[in-house]
Amino acid sequence: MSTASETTVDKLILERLKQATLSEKAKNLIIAALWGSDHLASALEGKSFEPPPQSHSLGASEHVASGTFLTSIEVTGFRGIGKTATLHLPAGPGLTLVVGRNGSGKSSFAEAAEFALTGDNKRWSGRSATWREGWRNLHAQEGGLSPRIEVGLRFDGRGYGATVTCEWTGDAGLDGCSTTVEVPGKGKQSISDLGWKEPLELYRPFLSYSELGGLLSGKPTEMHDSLQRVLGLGRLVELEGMLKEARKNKDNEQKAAGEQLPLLRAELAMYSDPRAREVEALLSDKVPDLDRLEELATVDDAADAVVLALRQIETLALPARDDIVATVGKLRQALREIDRLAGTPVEEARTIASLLEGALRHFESHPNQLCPVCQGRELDQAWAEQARREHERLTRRADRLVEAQKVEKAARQALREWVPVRPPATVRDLNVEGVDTSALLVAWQHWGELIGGDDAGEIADHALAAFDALAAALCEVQAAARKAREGRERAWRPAADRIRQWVASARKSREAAEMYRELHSAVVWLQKVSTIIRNQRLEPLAAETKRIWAMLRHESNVDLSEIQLVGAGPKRHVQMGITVDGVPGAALGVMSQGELHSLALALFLPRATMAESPFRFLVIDDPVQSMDPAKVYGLAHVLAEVAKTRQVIVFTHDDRLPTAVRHLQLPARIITVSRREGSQVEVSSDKDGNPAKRHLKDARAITQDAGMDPEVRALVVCSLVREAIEVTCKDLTYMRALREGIAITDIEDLYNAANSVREKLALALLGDAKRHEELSSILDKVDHAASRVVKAANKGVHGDELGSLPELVKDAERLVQRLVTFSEKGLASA
Amino acid sequence: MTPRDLLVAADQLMTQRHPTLRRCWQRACACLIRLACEQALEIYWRHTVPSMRGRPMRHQLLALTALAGPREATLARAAWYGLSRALHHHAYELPPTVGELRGWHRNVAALITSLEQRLRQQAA
Repeated sequence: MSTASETTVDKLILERLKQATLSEKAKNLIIAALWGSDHLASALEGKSFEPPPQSHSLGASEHVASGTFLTSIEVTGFRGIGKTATLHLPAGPGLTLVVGRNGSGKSSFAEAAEFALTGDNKRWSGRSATWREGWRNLHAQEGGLSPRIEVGLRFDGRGYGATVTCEWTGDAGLDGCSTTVEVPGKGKQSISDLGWKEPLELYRPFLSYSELGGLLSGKPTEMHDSLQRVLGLGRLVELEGMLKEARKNKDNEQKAAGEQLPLLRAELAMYSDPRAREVEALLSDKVPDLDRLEELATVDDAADAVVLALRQIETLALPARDDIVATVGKLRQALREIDRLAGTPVEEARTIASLLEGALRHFESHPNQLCPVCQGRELDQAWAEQARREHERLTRRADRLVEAQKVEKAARQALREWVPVRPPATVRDLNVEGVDTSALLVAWQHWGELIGGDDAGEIADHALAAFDALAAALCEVQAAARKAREGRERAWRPAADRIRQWVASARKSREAAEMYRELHSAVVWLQKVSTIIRNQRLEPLAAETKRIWAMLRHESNVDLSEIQLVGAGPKRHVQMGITVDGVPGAALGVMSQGELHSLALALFLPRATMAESPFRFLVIDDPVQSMDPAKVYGLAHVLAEVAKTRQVIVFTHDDRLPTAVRHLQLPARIITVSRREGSQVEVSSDKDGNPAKRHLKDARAITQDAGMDPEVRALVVCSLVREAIEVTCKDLTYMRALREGIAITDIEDLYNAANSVREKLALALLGDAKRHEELSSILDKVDHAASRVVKAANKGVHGDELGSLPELVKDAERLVQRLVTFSEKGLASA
Repeated sequence: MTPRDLLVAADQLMTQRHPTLRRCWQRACACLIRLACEQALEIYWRHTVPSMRGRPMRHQLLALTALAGPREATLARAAWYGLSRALHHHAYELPPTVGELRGWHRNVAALITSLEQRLRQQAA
C-alpha cells in the first residue's frame, strides 16, 4: 500500500510540476527528492544524477492478506478468561454485537484478538508494568493452563483462511509469546508474512472506548499525522521533510561566511602587514571581491617590496672561491712571466727576427757572401746556424710575452665579471628588518675599486682577501635577510590561511545562498501542492465522516461542516469546521464527552473502512459508554450501515445497543457472554441473537393479536417471515462465497439482483439464483413444510391456503434452523 | 388536536419556559411527541387498515413495514421506542436532552408528512 500510494503521490507531483512556474533548478531538486535522498544530495552538489532503477515499487502489496474477516476468537488463560472459551463470529459483512456485563470476559476477547494480530493493545500500551503484568488469568494458572489465543481468519475471494496462534510457555511475559500464522496447505508462517504491519498502523481495525477518547484529546499533530498516513500522504511529509532539511543545511552554509567575518576582522587587526589593511578594505564591501582576496592570500610575497629586497639579497650568488683562487693564480703567473720578459720590447724583437729571417732567405740563395747590410763579414754556414737560433729565440720570447699579457688581461676581466655589480637591493635600508648591509657595502666597494684599478699586481696580491671579505659580509647579510623574510612570512601565513579559508567558505556560502533560494521556492511550491493534494484525498473521507456524524449526532446542536488538514510543522492539525447552533468557529472544547466520542467514531469508521485496507472487519469495544440513549439509535444505524460491506464486531456492556437493534429491526447478530465462578466464560447466541429469529418472534406476537383483521395479520406475518428467510439467505450466501473463494462484492451484486425469496434461496443453497427451478426438490429435503413457508413468504398468500398462522411461524422457525444446518452439511459433504 | 398541533405544543415546551412544568418539561415534551406519533398512525390506519387501530403499538410498528413502507417504519420505530424509554422513569437515567427531543420531533414530523403523502397517493 505504501508503495502504491507513494507512486501515485509521486505521479501527482510530477504532473503538477510540468505546469509549475519554477526554475529548472528548483524543479530538478524536487525530482531528485522524489528519487531519494541520495539523489537530492548529489543534485545539491550540482552533480548530475541518474534516475534510480524502476524495480522497487511492485511486490510488497502482494504479500498483504487482503479482504480479511474474523471467524473465531479462542482464548485460554488470558485476562478474564480461564478455561478455553470460543467466540464464533459470522464471517462476511454484517453486524455482530457481543453483549456482556462488565467483567464477563467480553473485552478479553476483543483484547486477545487485538493482541494476537497486532502484538499490542492500545488499552495497555503506555501503561505501567503492574497493569501489563495482570494479563494472565489467575484461575487458568491454578488449573495449569498455558495462555493461548487463536484467531480464525477468512480471506475474501480466496476460498481459504488462516489461523493466527499466540502461545506462551512457562513464565513468559506478555511480550514473550510466539505468534504464528497457519494457512492450510502452506504451513506455519511468521505473522510478519501477512504484511500487516503497516496496514494495522494505518487502518487500525480495533478501537476501544479509551482509544475513542484519546483520538481527539491527543496532540493535534498526532491526529493530523494519523489521518495523513491513512490517506497515503505520508509521502508528502517525507518529501517536504527532505527538502526542508536540505534547505536548513543550505541556510546554515549561507550564513557561515558572514558568521566568521567578525573573527577574521579581529584577527586581521592584529597584523601590521599592509596587506591586512587591503583585506580589511575589501571585506567592508557589501560583496567582497573574493578573487582579489584570494590573490592577497595566495600570491607569493613578491608583492611586498621589503620581502622582494630580502629575497633578492638571499639569491645573490658569488663565484666559487676556488675559481677566484685559480684566476688570481693565473694572473699572478702571467705577471711573473711579463716580469721575466721585461726588457724584451716585443716590436724590436720582432723587427730583428724578421731582419734575420730576410738575411737567412738571402743567405740561402746567395751563400757565403758578405753581409749586404754592413759588408763586414761573410755570411757563411756558421753564421746561418747562429742567425737561425737567434731568430727562433726572439720569436718565442715575443710570443710568450704576448701570451702572458693576454692571460693577465683575461684574468682581470674574469675577476671583474664574475662578481656581479652591487645589486640595488643592497642599497635599501633594511636595518628595520635587522639586516645591516653597511659592512657588505664597504666590502663590495673595496672589491670594486680593487678590481677596477690599473695595478695588476695589486689585484693579484689583494683580490683573494677582498673576495673573502665580500663573501663573509654577504653570507652574514644573507643569513640576516633570510631570517627577516622568514619572520615576515611566518607572521603573514596564518592570516593568509585564514583569508583563504574564509574565501573558500564565502564561495560555498554564495553557492549555498543560491541553492537556498531554489530549495525555498521548491519547498513553498511543494507545500502549496501538498495542501491541494491532501484536501483532494481527504475529501471522500471527510464526506464520509460528515455523513456518519450527521447520523450519529442525532440532532445535537453541533454541526460539522468541513474537515481539513492544515498548518505545517508543529502547528499542523486537523481543522474541523464545527458550528454550534449555526454559529461557526467553535472549538472542540464546546462538545460534550459523548459528542467527542461520536465525532471520534465518525472519524474512525471511514478510516477503518478505506478500500485500501486489507481488513474487512472492525472490532469496536464499548462505543456507547458515554452516549446519550437517543444517540445509541443513531449509532445502531451507522453500524448497520457500515456492516453492509464490513464485518463489524461491537462489544458492549449493556443492553442499549441490542435494544436499539431490536427496535429498529436491524439485521444484527447478538452474542451473549457471561462468566461463572472461576473465570469460566460462556458464549451463547440464543434468545434473540439471530435476526431471523427476532423477526419470527415478532411474527408470533402478531399471530396472537386477535383484534387484528385476519387478512392484515396474515400479510404482516408473511412479510416478517420473508424478512427472516432473507436474512438467513444473506448469511448463508456470504458463508458460501467465503468458502468457495468468491469475492464478497461479486456475491453482493448477485444477491441484490435476486428478486424473489426463491431466487435468494437458490443463491444461498445452490450458489446460483437462476437455479430456482431446482429449488423445490432441495427444499423438500430440508423440511417438509419448507415449500409452504417459502410460498407464504414470497406471495403473502391469502386466507385458507395459508393454514394456521402460528403453525406457519413455527414451521418458519424450524426451516430457518434447518437451512443453516443444511448449508453446513453441504459444506461437510463438499 | 391533530398530530401537528401536538408537535407545535411540544416545540413550545422546548423553546419557552413554563412555570408549572419546571422540573418535568422534558417528559411532558416527550409525551406530546409520542402522542403525535401514535395519532399519526391512528389517522393512517383509519384511512387504510381500520382494524389496525388500537392494536398494541409494537404490533402497529411491526405492521408498518408491510402496510406503509420501510422508511415510515424506521422513522416511527426510532421515535416511538426512544420516546417510550425517555418517558419511563429509569433509576439512573436523566431526562432526555433538548437535542434528543428535537431529533424525535423531527422524526415524527417527517413520519407525518410521509404518511400523509401515502394517503394522498392512495386517494388519487
